[in-house]
Amino acid sequence: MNAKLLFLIPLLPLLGGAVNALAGLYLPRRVRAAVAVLAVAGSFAATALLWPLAAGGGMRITLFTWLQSGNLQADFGLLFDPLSAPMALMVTGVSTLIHLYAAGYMEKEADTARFFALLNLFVFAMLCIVLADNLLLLFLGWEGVGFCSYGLIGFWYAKLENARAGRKAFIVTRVGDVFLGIAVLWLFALCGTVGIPEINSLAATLAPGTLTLLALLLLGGACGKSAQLPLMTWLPDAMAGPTPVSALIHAATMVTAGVYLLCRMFPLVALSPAAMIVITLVGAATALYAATCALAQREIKRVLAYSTMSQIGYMFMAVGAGSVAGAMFHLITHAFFKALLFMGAGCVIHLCDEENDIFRMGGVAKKSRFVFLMFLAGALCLAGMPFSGGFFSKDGILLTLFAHEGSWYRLAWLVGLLTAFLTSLYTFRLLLLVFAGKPRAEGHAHRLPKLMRWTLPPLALFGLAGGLLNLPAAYGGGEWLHHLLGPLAGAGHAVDHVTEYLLAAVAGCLFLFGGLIAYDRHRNFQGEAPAWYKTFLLQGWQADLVVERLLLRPFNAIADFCWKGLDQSVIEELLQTLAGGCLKLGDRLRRLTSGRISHYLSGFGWGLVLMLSWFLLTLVKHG
Amino acid sequence: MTSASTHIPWLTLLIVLPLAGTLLCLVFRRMPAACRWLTLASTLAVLLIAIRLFWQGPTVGGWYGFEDAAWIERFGCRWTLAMDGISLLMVVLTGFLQVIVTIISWHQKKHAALFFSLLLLLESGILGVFLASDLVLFYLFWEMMLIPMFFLIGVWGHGPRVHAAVKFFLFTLTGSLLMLLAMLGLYLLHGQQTGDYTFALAALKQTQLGPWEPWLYAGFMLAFLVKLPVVPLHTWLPDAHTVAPTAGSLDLAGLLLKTGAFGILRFAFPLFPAAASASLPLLAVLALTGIYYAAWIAWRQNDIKRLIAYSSVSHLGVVLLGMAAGNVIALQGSILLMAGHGVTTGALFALVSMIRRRTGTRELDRLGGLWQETPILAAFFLFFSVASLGLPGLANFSGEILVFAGTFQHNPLWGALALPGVVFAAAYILRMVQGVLWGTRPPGRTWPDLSWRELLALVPLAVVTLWLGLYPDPFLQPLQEPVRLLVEGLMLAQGGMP
Repeated sequence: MNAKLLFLIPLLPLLGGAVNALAGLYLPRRVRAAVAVLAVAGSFAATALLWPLAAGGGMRITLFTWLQSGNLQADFGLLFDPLSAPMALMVTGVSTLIHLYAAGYMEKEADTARFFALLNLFVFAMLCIVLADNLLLLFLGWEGVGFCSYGLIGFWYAKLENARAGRKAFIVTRVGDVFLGIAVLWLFALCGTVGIPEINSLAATLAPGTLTLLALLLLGGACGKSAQLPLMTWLPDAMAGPTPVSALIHAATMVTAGVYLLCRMFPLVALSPAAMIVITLVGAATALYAATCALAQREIKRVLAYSTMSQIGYMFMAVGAGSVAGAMFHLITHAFFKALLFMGAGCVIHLCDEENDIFRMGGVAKKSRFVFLMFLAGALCLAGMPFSGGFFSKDGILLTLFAHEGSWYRLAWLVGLLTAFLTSLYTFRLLLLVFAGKPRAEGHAHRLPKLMRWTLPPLALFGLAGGLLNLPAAYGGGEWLHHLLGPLAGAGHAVDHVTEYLLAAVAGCLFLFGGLIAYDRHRNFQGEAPAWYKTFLLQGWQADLVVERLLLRPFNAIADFCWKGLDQSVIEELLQTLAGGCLKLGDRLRRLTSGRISHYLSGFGWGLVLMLSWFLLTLVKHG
Repeated sequence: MTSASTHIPWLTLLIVLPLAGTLLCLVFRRMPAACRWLTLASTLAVLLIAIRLFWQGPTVGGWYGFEDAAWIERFGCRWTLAMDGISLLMVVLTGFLQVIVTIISWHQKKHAALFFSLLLLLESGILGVFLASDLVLFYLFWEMMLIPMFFLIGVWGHGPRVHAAVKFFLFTLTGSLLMLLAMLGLYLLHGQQTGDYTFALAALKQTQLGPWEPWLYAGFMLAFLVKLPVVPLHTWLPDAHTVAPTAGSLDLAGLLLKTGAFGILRFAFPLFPAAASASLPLLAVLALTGIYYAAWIAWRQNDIKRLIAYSSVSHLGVVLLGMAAGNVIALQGSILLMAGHGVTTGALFALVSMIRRRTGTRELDRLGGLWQETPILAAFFLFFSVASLGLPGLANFSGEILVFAGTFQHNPLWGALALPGVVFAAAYILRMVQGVLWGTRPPGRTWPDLSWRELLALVPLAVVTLWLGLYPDPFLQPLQEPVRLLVEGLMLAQGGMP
């Protein structure tokens, strides 16, 4: 098999994006969608066909040199190994389904050329992150997904609010990018290379303090893209974008890039126990924070956005506890069921006459049994129903945390359990509010295009059966993903089967409790009494307000000071004074040449007096 | 002596061709159409010669051309032109942008012949600056750029144009007079030491300067830093940009600012290596101040042109940072960023004028919703905007990342301090994009999308932006040798081994 064919994986979506960007306006609508779908499907097929190349240490190939200067060399080079291959397969596979769904979803939209161009470019950039063999190319993808996300969140730009959400996403994630950039360039200065395998193997030679700092910088980058504390404020607002975008970018792919980055650089990150603890704690804090926020949300997509944030918190905890396999396992199952949930939410919104507010929904199960079943499958995975994909992957993470030494990990484990309970609670709240009872608002149900319906069942299947990917030995599985990753998998969990069953039983009970409490509270929803704590949670703990007060206002104040306080006044004044001084001096000098004979004569006389007196003085001195 | 490789004096031709065009435009001043075509022909000819030199590759020692002839023998001034990799890149950039400028100014109505003749005179001056290797000759071209620019702003500008033109003139002239003094000082010093009174750059590099070195260096640097421009000597730039006609803005941002940076690399650093290497931390401070200060101001601007002008100051801060880091990667990055900035900022200025022609305004709070009406124009605007904020794969990123990488190698702290600047860039650029493209357009207004002539100007700019971003290697290759020499000079001055 020709290894160069690997370049088809990222380049096909790039090509599709280029076609739609350059010629999309002149293509029929069906062709635009077809180009986009085919490009991604081709990429998926290529990934699947080239799968064998990933075996063992994987395959590393270079297309051409991108940047070369001094000892800096960055290639367009791919690394197709047991870590990147499953990720690429997931990204292209889920993307294909979402593209198909989008073709249905955007049926009536006018400007689909821009939409599909950005969607395809996004997949290209994401694949650059996944497959890059050096950190600069990874950075290209990293910023590329940020830009596409910006364009897609603000896709309905006529409402400035949407455009603002896009801008917020770009800028907040770029704050994270700066940390990543510093890490990359510093690593280059220390190691003399930007190649990922090289850096990972050289990492052990670096000083421990430096390593911790580097790992934390990488964490900063990961937090930006993955919407972890404290760079999480952009994700709920990003729901302003079209639903397929939320499914693709803000559930299945881009937001998991941070987790992937930490897994990719795991050999380096793992060398610093302190950084590992911080990663775990950031994950735990975000998981809990987002779960509490999700409890109070009113918009269906915002509930899902917070749940995404929370689930990614789990993945961070897994990385922090040293289990790359656990993180990747949850990443993949989550991608399936969360994409499913978002796409289901898109269907729900269609069925409720473009209504977003779950308080005004209700009774959707009667409108479409099919959508209900699909959404239910996703919700059960999210809530952690025993033996669903989400259950196994989340349980694995909790187990790893439990088994890990150190009190911080024990704390994270407890937070994880609590979050699992909250997850079940808010998921059932969502289910009940949307599907149970009678419709609470008038509105006629829009027709669901076929493409929107038939892309859901495969995801439901993968979500429910996703546990098979890495089925633990305790359930008779072979831990396929763990073995596939081999040396990259990180630590496993070492507990006996009885403990494992016990912990699973605890998780099952939490799932059940959450469901029952939600059933009790929301079965007959009649509206909710407002309360300060609900508003607080609804606004995401007022994070936006804090950012506004602590960052934006000072930023604007400094900007105004620089502009009006310095540039327009001090510097300008100074120069004016200087120029004015010259002018005045010139004026004084001009008076000397007034043109009047009497002035000249008096000048002549004074000069004569001066010279004579000087002459006399010298005479006196020498005489 | 003739050119090193051929008998055609290409470098002299580069300068003489636009000069001839200037004169011909004045001769045919009653026929604006003829002047247009004449201008296009001469700018294209310059571009073709530049490309030919690029294609042909360097001779031994990394030179792309060297021409030397007697000029004012009595004072030791010679007509010496030399092209190394840095000049080559700058000449190609000049040739390229000047063609674009001609296409964009095609429908110039007011005093068309004079306008085009000044454009060509400006090109001749800029090319001279990039090529001259004799101090007096350099100074001649340096001042020669000033005059056409002064008139372009003062005659064809909008708003308070005379004020801005005079400000521009005074700032640059003050700087250059100090440079002139420093040149004379250097000339006399060298003459006293060797008995050979000459203005040749190559000879003057050998001068033993002693205590005079910092003063002479400062004289040169002041002229270059005003042109760059560096905060706090930058206030002429926003004013000049705001009133300048499109062609003026393009040349100002794309080329004139680059002459300052170029002067540092061609003259200040090689002539005074010890003072230069001692001043590097100071330059870094100036650069870092400029990056943030200008970005902060850009964030608050309402006039797009002013916003882009301040963004230029910020970007040139990055260029200066690369010079302050003074190693191979950073310097190559600096020069590459100069090219990238020239192309993207030039394109943005061109787009601003296209937007203004349609909507009649450049104020952010009165614009909006352009994508609805003119998607192609809007797409170009978005493309060059994100190129300007340093999106990887587009022109500015290649330069910026090299500057930052080099800076990290030199001093990680400087690098870490500079990098958050990209967030600032994202903030002000996206604010601009938001104000122009998104939202809804004012009711009842419709505008045509890009004409084919506008496309003709923008498409090459976009292609070069992508080229510089994705495969900058052809542009980095010529820089290797001159940058190596520069770094060696700085290292030797520090007493270290290169």
